[in-house]
Amino acid sequence: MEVKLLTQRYDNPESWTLAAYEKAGGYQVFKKAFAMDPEQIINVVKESGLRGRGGAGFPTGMKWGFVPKETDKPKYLCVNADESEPGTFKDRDLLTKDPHALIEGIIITGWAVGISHAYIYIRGEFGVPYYRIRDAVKEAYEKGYLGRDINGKGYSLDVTVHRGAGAYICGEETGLIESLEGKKGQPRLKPPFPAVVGVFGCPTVVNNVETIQAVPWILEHGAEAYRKYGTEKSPGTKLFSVSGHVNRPGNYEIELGLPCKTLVHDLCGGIRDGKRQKANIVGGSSVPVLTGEEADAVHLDYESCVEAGTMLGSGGMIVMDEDTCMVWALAVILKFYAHESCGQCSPCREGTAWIRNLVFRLESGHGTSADLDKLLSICDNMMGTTICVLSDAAAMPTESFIRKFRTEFEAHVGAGRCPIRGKSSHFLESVH
Amino acid sequence: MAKVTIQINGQEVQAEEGLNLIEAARAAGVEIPHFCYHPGLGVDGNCRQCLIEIEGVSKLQIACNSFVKEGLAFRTDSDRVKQMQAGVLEFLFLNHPLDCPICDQSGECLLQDYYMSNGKYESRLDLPKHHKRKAVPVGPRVMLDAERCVLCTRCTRFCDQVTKTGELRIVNRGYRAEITTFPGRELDNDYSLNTVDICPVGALTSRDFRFQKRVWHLRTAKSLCTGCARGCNTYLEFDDGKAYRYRPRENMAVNDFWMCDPGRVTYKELNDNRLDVAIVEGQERPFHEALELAGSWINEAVGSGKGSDAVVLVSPQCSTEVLYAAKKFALDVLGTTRVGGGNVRPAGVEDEILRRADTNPNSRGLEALGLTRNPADLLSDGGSVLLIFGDDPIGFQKDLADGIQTFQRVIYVGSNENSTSGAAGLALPMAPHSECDGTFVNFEGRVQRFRKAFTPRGDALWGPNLLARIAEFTGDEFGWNGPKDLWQELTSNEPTFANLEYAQVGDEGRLLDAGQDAGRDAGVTAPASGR
Amino acid sequence: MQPYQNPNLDIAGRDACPVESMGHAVRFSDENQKRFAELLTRYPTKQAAVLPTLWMAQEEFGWCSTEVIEYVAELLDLPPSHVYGVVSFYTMYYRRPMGKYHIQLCTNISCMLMGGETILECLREKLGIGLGETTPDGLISLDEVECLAACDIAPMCQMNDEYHGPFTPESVGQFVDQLRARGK
Ligand SMILES: Cc1cc2nc3c(=O)[nH]c(=O)nc-3n(C[C@H](O)[C@H](O)[C@H](O)COP(=O)(O)O)c2cc1C
Ligand code: SF4
Ligand code: SF4
Ligand code: SF4
Ligand code: FES
Repeated sequence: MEVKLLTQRYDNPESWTLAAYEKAGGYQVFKKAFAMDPEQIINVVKESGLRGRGGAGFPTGMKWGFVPKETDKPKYLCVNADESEPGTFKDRDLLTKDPHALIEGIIITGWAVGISHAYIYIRGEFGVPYYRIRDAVKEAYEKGYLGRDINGKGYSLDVTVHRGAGAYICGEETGLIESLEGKKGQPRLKPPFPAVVGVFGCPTVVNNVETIQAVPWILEHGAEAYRKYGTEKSPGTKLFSVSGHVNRPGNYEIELGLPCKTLVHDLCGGIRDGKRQKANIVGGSSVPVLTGEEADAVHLDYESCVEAGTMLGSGGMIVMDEDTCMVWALAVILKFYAHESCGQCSPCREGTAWIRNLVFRLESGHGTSADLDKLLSICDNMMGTTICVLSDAAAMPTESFIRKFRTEFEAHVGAGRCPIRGKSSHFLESVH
Repeated sequence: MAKVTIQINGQEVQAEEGLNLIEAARAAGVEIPHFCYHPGLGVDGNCRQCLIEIEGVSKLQIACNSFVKEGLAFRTDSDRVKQMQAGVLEFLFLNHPLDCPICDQSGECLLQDYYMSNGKYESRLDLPKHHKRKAVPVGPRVMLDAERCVLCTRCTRFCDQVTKTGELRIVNRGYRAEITTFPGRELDNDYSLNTVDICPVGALTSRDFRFQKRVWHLRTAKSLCTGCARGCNTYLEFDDGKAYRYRPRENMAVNDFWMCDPGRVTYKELNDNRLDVAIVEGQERPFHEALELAGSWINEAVGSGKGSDAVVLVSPQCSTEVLYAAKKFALDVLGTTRVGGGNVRPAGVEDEILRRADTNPNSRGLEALGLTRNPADLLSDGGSVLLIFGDDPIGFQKDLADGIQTFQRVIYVGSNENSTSGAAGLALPMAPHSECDGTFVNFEGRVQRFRKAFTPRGDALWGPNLLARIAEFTGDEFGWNGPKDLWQELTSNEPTFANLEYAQVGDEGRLLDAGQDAGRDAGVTAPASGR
Repeated sequence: MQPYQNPNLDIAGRDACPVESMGHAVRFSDENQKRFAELLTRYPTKQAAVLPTLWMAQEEFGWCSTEVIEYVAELLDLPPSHVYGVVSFYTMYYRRPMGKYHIQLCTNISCMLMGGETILECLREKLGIGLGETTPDGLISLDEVECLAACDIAPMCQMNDEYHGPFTPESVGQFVDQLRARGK
């Protein structure tokens, strides 16, 4: 069921103000943190088992540990608030409803890693969330929680809110870094990794909003308390954004390891109009799709998802009912990747548009059955061959859609139109 | 850098530690296909063509961004590598127009080359191609065909890193990405044509060279640019006695991989306005007749005791060999010490990349032979015979005409018709550096060789031979058995050149004061165009 | 109904990235000059200020014309082509004048599952314009966008910096009517 650690203050009146946050006990944990050794804090986070909530699920404490201790360069923190993975909208609420918790998380992370300046990279489309976090930062500066010599501890930290301008790829950590440096958000070759050479050529930690926001709770209650939730390898809670054909779409903070069935059928009130769940993409549009049956069997933790042939990703769950045409759904998804490929790598730049066009053609009923194997082979060439994994993120859903719903694809071939929706999407055909 | 042992396709080889695997493989004779990597521009890793399999690493890695270390083993020939390399190539062909028959790059196009050697897929590209702009001039010298572009960013990186002018940019993202300039601005820096050389496909082409010649008809000679004292190393490309273009030839000590645009057009002097016959008083005359006339003028002067009165005006445009021969001719045949010369040209543009203000290729050679004299001073007292070697003193410095006029007999020896050849009573055709072997000494004192591309046009002769032919009429022992023979004599007679054998000069040149050579970068060997 | 035509897509024979001229040079207001100076203090390099400076410029001048791009490039000591590349990479910098209200309908998966395609048809019909177009009175521009992180209110759109949804065919019509009234 729902466990509200990060979302506990959501319903407080004017929860986004400094006053409300302090009233709820906020801005106390960082003082506790300041009394600790930075190394100690990193250890607590390591022990808590907190894993990155941006998609990859990388252990956060370990990531912090990669930042070189002995360096005369400034160290930076980039808070990834680009939230653009289709189906994901959890950071939006964290920023809108509890921005001060993020700031407190930044202060603690900053102290632990020795950060001198944190940039909150927020997607350009966000209006209200942007105003909220911008104003919260201002309030925190005024109160002396940010800036010079915080709390008289001799530690100084600046926070700047930096707006993106509409590009999914800026959510990829090195794309974000490039964008922050005032360039096109084109991901960098790795190595070197950001922890060593990041933004402005300096050691940099990139963490998702939700990851940073979990830090104050963990510091306040201890690693063990956090580990009480979730599974052995996926401890704690995670926010899931559920959308699509469910009765109650929205954000749900749940213990990791909760059966997907419970989230979809209980918390979200099941499929709308009492229909059957045909498919479920559990972790944002980039992960392989599950059939309804597979989804009902999976548990929502990193390991179980991998076992089920998918990934937990960002927790953006997209639910599709029995009336959904899977060819059409894939076409819509592929429209996104072709639009968002940054265009550096040949396989991604050309591949995303190619598979999109082939699936558009299939959707229109003008494809051939040879197209299906061609698609699979193109996807194969797109995976593991590029600078970042956007290319894989387009190929993986494609492969899984074709593998799991091949009959639907075949039914389109030669039909001249979509046999499920009874028509073809004029919209998709005309997007070129 | 230390040499370590690595394995390429199961073969053990020694490789320089830290070198990237494209270079390491190349050194071992294994070509890894690639588009975006260029040794002069560093690693960008965008084309993904250079995927290889490194032992112990599960994902394929790009060779351009993987580096030699002890014990490293990798394969470029496994099925997986072949599949992925063919796959990447197929992606690049997806929207590539079928232009090869009309494309200038045809014959030196990496896409074409790799397709021939690697792309064994039957065409699966049955969707309409995405169209982009074709044949748009992006600058005064460069033409763009955006459809052919593989978006490797070599050209943008060149403009960012080398010229730091940043004219070119890829705009838009994904499959709509396209190379362009800012609206209303042009690619118009002094080095813009290098983008044409490094463009691996036919997206950027030279407006000058466009449609002139299919490249497979061209032959190549190692040459030097004569545009300034830098002496950029070049390939002179020619066919049938005609020069078609220069391309820069890698020399990390001189010009890296580049040359300037003004220098690049100097090949035209090798074709246009050539003085390839003898001209006497404005009339074309049989060559032997003209030589005889020259001989008689000289005999006349020497015979009347006015040999020491003669002047030999040489130019820093001439090769070291011509300068040496002219000097010797002055001393031994004419018996005059009035021999020398200097710059007559206006100063050129100097920049921090390559270009030098001194627009002569051999000022240092002139100096090393002790021939640097002020032309006006040399001419000031007039005299019996004036022998002018190369360049166009009158054309560049009007007032030198007066001095020249005061000589009784004026003989011009040069490769092009100009004001000076016109003013001379006798003009004799000399082979330019495309038509003989020789050396120039660049501004740093680096002796560099240029090679003969084709036989001299018309009646033109190698300068020293021309003098030898005149000497036949004066009865002097004079002449050499070709450039090598002359060079041997030169190095034993001229202390500044002592011990500098041709073999030492090699393709990379050699400093006169060889001690200075120690700190020079070890370059990587460049093959023909595009890399 | 006009066929779908995104202005950035079909570029054969035209500028790679069409960006229009305003016909006059631009200069920040005194207040924005101050904001700009402050902005520079937040980053260790000038170049890092490209995105926020473009945002400020778009706020003040309405869109990113060639003049705006050149001005921003000059302020930040960058070649204009660099800023041009940036402008072309991100979807939110406008390269042509926009209507007072900019409706961007999400056409990504969750919104499409919830009927986004129908909402798009309704909008096109109601406004009488296609995607990438502006109503003749200059009031409303229509575009499609990818996921806006608001799938819980699908199908939805962004209108300037506000999010609106979920829409039904009826409510989207009312939404347009409200905008028209607001624009009076
Ligand atoms: C194409 C792509 C898009 C991404 N988008 C986001 C995003 O919008 N937000 C995010 O936090 N992480 C995103 N990521 C993941 C980041 O690269 C990075 O792993 C993450 O921000 C690290 O933070 P975490 O360890 O706290 O999860 C994306 C990755 C890829 C490859
Ligand atoms: S995989 Fe795609 S998005 Fe990622 S760097 Fe390469 S082209 Fe850009
Ligand atoms: S024009 Fe040529 S050099 Fe430039 S990006 Fe395209 S292919 Fe590469
Ligand atoms: S820099 Fe000088 S030598 Fe080099 S290409 Fe230019 S003119 Fe020729
Ligand atoms: S990715 Fe290695 S050469 Fe292009």
